[in-house]
Amino acid sequence: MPKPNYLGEFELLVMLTVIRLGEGAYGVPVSREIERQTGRDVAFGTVYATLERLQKKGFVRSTLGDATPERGGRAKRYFRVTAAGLRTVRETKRSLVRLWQGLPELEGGVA
Amino acid sequence: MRRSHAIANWLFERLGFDMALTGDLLEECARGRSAIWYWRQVLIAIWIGIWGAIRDHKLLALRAVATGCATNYVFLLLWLRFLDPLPNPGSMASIVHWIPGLSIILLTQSATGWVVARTHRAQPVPMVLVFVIWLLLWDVYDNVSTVRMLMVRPLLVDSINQPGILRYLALYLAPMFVTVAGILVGGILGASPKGQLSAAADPRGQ
Repeated sequence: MPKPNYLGEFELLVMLTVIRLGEGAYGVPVSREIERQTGRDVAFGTVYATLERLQKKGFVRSTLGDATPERGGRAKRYFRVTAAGLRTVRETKRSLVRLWQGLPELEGGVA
Repeated sequence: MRRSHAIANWLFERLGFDMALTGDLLEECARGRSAIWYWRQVLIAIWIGIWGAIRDHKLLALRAVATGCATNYVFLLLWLRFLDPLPNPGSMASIVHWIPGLSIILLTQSATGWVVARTHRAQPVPMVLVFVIWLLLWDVYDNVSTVRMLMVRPLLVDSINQPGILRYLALYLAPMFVTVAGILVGGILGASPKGQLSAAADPRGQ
């Protein structure tokens, strides 16, 4: 039986953001979207390190876009979630939902 | 700001970072981010990159320490064989011996840093830093032992108020600073710009 893959908290945030952004997912919008959705300050280096780790695991793949003058001639690196990545996000969600269920302290929306 | 970008690019290239990251940072600066924000992002990226490289390559880190120690041992043997009339670098008591002694330390330690970087081409800068950290820890351990010994003999307490203590402290600490500077300079010279990390390995996508 294959060992199930789970994502860490920040990995899950990055995966969900890449899925949400679709074809426009590169460093800047990914960082901004995470900041917007979570309200926390996100370092670009952290996002890139996480994306690199996810790529090594085969959960995302990347392609280089065109270089632009405002980026000092550096190309954008676009990220897309792979089928294995989508499966892993679903597995992680299922695990979290199972853990969530049956906890009276977390029901009713009152902290 | 242009100079900042050039320095950051130079560092990122030697650390093997994905250069798309520098493009992203420039893009944000063009939208009004400050120089402080830019350098904070650069330093965080460097810290994450170096720490990640050390964490992912523990055996390579051990090998870097062993390589650095072995190279230094060779230099120590050469020092004892050919430069015996010069005092040991840690105990250079005279300014006459200071300049040539420190120059030799700078030269040999640059060579050590270069050797460590060239023998660990996959992660040159992180491995050179591992060796520097190990050397500093060893030096601190060595110095703490010496200070304890001197405290027992009350030599240190007596000498703190003596005239010329600062000169002796400078003579004592300078070799350590020159050692670190030499290793870092040699390491950076030995670390040729790398291909980008795996994220950038294949421009056609993975």
